[in-house]
Amino acid sequence: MNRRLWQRLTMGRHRSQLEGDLRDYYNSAFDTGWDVEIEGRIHARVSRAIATQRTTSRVPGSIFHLKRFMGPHVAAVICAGAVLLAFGGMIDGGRGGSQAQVQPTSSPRTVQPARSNANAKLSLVSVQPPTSVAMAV
Amino acid sequence: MYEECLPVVLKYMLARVRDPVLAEDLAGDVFERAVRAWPTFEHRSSPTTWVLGIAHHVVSHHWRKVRTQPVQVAEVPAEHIDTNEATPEEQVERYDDAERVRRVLAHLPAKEQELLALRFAADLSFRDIAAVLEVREVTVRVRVHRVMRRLERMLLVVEG
Repeated sequence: MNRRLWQRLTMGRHRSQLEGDLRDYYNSAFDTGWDVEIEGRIHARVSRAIATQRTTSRVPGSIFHLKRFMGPHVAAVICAGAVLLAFGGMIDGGRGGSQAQVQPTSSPRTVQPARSNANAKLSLVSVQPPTSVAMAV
Repeated sequence: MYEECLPVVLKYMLARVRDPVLAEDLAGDVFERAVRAWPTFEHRSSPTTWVLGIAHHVVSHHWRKVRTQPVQVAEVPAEHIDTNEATPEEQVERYDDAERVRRVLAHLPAKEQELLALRFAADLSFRDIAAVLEVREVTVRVRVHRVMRRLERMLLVVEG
């Protein structure tokens, strides 16, 4: 018989035998069977994950809703816009505050902090007695 | 889904990580992800294949995280060998075969061990393995053929 053919035939026999040995090995070494405890533990873990997911996705207008109903790209653009708006608002707020505090004035007498002005007005208002009380006195 | 997939996923995990506790933990992780991703399942493959695809990613992520590879290959307890209707000589022979395979498998790289685990532990077809590993079916056939040829040569050396 041709030597190459003989080799192929013997290798084929080895191959099927090896496949059988491998199946036996994996079935015997890693066969866990059907363990109810394992199933229970994994089921509990998955149930917790589902409950968490439901709680999270119940929040109306959340990122999950945006992603689900509008697609990931639109959701990303909307979120980025919201972040930019919030950031812009913070910057504007910061500028307003700094302008109020650093406003230069020519004479030191006119420089008064806004809070002290308000307090002064409040104190004036509170000092003035109501007319009815004044009349009674 | 559990009844169909859990035994296969557990066996695959055990074959990859060799630690029953870790295998169960990772299997839980796999099913957690599977349940979350279930709405995206397009039914292009069987649920088992789809879940094993997730398992493949989970194990790869785990090994990347711990930066080690499994070096030990599980020993075969003698009582796990199927000895129904076998003579004592056949029992010894089966145990020897399993032990021989174990010794040879220990020298294979992790990727090749994974291929064998998918093929013989999870009992997947070439097409399903290709779906799990996200490669072409021809590639899987070639890789499995090379691994088997390598195993044959190693076994010949072991047998002397």
